[in-house]
Amino acid sequence: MSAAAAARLLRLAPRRLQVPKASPLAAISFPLPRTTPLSAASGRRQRFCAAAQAPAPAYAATGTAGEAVGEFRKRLRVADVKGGEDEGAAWVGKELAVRGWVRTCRAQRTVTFVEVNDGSCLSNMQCVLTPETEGYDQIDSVTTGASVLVEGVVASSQGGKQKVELKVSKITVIGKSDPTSFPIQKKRASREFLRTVAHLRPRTNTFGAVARVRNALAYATHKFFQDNGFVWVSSPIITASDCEGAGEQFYVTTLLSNSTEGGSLLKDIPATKDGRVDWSQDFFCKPAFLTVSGQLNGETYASALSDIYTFGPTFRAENSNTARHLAEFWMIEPELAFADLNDDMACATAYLQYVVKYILENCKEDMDFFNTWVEKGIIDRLNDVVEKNFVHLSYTDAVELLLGSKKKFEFPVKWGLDLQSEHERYITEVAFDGRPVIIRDYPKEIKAFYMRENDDGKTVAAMDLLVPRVGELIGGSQREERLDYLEARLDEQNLNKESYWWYLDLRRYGSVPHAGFGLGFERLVQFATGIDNIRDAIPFPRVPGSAEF
Amino acid sequence: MAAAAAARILRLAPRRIQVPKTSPLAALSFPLPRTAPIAAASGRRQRFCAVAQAPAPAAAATGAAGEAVGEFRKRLRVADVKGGEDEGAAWVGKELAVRGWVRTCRAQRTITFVEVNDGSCLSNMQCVLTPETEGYDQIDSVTTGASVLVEGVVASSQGGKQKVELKVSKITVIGKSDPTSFPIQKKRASREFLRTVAHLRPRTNTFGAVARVRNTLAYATHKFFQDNGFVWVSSPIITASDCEGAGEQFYVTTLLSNSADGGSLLKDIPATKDGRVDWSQDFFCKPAFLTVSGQLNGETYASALSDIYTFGPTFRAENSNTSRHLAEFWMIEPELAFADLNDDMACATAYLQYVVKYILENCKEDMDFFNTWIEKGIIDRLNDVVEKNFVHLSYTDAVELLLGSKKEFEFPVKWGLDLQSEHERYITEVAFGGRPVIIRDYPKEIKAFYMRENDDGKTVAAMDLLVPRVGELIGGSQREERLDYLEARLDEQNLNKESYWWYLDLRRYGSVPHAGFGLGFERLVQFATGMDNIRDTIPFPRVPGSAEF
Repeated sequence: MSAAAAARLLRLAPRRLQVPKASPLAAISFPLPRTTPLSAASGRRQRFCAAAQAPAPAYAATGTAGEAVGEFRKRLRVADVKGGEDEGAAWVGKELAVRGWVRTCRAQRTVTFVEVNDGSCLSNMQCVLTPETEGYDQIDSVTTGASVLVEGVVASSQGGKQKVELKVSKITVIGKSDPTSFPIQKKRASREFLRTVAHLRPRTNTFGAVARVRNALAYATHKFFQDNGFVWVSSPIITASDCEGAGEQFYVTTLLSNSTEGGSLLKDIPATKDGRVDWSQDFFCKPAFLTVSGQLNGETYASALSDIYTFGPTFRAENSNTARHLAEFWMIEPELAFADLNDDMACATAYLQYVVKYILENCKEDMDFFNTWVEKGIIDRLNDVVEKNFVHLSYTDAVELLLGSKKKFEFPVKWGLDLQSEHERYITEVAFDGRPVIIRDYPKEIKAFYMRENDDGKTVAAMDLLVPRVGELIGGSQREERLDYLEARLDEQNLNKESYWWYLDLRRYGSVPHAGFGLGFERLVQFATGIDNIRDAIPFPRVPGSAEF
Repeated sequence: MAAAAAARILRLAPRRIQVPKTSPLAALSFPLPRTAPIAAASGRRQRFCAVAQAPAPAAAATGAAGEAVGEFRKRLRVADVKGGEDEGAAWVGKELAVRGWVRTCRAQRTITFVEVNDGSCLSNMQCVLTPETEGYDQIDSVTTGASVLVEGVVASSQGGKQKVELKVSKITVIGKSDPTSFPIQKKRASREFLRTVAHLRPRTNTFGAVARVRNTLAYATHKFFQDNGFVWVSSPIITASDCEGAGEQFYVTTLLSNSADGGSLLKDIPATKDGRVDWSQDFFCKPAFLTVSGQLNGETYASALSDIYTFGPTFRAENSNTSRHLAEFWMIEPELAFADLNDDMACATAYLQYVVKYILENCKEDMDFFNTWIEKGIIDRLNDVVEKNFVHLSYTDAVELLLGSKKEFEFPVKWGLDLQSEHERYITEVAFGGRPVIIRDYPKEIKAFYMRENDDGKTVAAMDLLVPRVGELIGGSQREERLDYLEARLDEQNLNKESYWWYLDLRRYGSVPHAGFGLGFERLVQFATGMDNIRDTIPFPRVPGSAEF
């Protein structure tokens, strides 16, 4: 009966009102030309059309003709037209539609040029309008920032900047943009200003390109690790481990809830008898923090699945307002079981070369843009990473090199001290002429408790991978797999062994030599794009005093 | 001079002490047989060998022979041997090494069977040892949980459970495990217990399988969106938007720092004159929270790049300790520009069918395990998702269906009320025989402010995709692109328009019809695996009172 009742209901006339004919959506479903040219070239992304099942006749009643939920349609993008080697020449004569945002609108005597960008690539589609173009009466609304649908025929372009342009037969303004207040204008805005309008900055060439390259680096990361049999594990964001001193960690709490009008009252915060915060009343019944690293958690899964990687956000409540720091950033942390430091270094090298090669091959237009406008020579530098050998250097040799250089550094150079940015940059940019350098075997006193002690008793099997300009891109180590050594290190650093009970368990039950590294993803984006401020390498930067958007 | 100095240093004898010959690492570099069979079959993951540049002769000095950092070597895994159609038969006669953890050790009269699992697949490698096996004197250390390296020759197996086994010539115990205290034993532990040892539970069949399927679902997600030209955008985790009422959001703060021994003192918390928390002294100079959704931020990038998706953690400080809730979970939120609700539904359908098909094809062994031990019939149910049409139903029709069913529900059914889990399950499991159902066009009063008002003035273009058992898997909508309508909705819901200034800007400057959806990734994992408690679908669950590990 219920099935029959359901069928009866479905046969009822559709209750949804018809969308007015004037809706711009009706025009959006524009078919691809039947003779779509095949474009096999670098920079073009493979398209996949996921065919959903067509709705059964009885259910088609839920949508009217033209609105039926059908296949998830392939959309034509500017990158599909202009992204190949011939930059669109094969499309000449074809009819198509482009939807995007206006970058510029330039009126000449008898024609108007409108540059439309849909975000799929750096290039705009140059659209040529004449007074005969349908919708030309809306030309006053075709301003920078407006969204439009343009339909027409692809033609060879007379101008030198592009191979093809669109002779527009019809233009529809979808959303207007007030040219007097839209903050992204043709005159180049500073990156400092663009940070204040982070919600609109992806409409600029620079930030569109950063977004696409960042996306490609993320996907290349997943591809590299998946192809090598690693399992992605999400490490926890909220943690009860206060493993680096709370001065650098954010608290996560519900004790400060705005239950009263005007803000949290201190007297409403639960307290113990001696005037301290009563954490037992908090959500997790104890202090909780935002993670600073997923490594320890990653090691648990590596101790079962062999090779894993994390890719997620991490946080530092460091009061640094510099171009190199973010309070919220993304980290990639692979962990390899049955591995030593050499395997770790080999993995880091292979990974870096893979992702750099990937963006050079798949983001050619964006990379040319960075090479021209952001950091001249960046493509050559990245090609060097792919093609040249990485230098391997012990920490001890690095210190000797620095001492022997006769250069005056701001920070002192001495065995046992950490290397500063200026030292790292000297090593990569001067001593080794721009090649990546891996420094290994650091003094144990300046490294974390979990790093494996070398047999000399003075150093640990740790490595940093340095690159020009950015400095330390990757930091890794072999982990201390011997329980007694690990417990000794925790004691030396006055860390509470009870808090690490589960981490120590990994050494009690089937401990294995294992190694891994951490890579700050935004630093990788900086390295790949040449962007000098890390706040421009992440969509919505979080720094002291700023959590807008 | 600097270059010459560097060269001189590099020519020095290596300073690193040679690793003792007995190190188990020395035995780990076991070469693949030269005639390794090519296994092309479902369930086997494609292997990629990233070839790093060989080090220059001078640089080789930094590592001793046998320890040189060379290529990132391809590792042989149990899945490589047993993962094909022939389950390893082609490997018979080949020598190989397996490294992993002992699942069971069974001594017979003249031979000992050791099941070794390396986490690459569900299957163990059954290893056959005799007293002649080198290392047999350590047999007492070969206990459940110990890590071992076994070397030998693949042979056909006499037992019925597997096609091949390893006749072991040499076994090395890498890390021991105390059988009296190791909590993962042969007798099946309850999932509730395993949650208390979340650091070791991936060594069980169930949680190893969940981890692999979860990994595969994540990768399939990236593949689907990348192949369709979407750009991955990381939305911010820390946000100043208190957009759902602070009762459900976690505060992120540095005001509670443990600067005093024994815990935070209330008197140390900065206060205003009227006794409230002085947020201007906090890290972000205003209250900050953990995000509950990346959607609004995603819309900003969709308004520039056309199609984007987020995949990151989100948080709810909901005091729910049920099997369906997590305080920290992962969300996938695509956003499509120039799209309406039909496009959104088509995308959600295509996505779900893609990822389900992907795991059925790539995780066959794990899926068979779930089908046998977790939820009988799950493979058929998932095949139905891939092959059958999804039902499309308006909210109004759904209510009529429920009212007409004559079934007594715990919660009332009435137009204008939200559908409860019991209603959703009835619709999918009873009314439509287990097929996925998309319910669309909900009353505007029960939906969020950003959903586009339909022309009837009473409903909004929202949709929920329901599946059996899990219920609501996807929730989506077309967004309100009309500025005046959006402002009216904010007013109706007493939300502060000033807080949404940047979101409203998207409607002021080139607004486009756009739509998107949100999918709780852990619910997807539940749906794909049949696991009934959501805490078992995430590596380290966060729920009220629990943030261990």
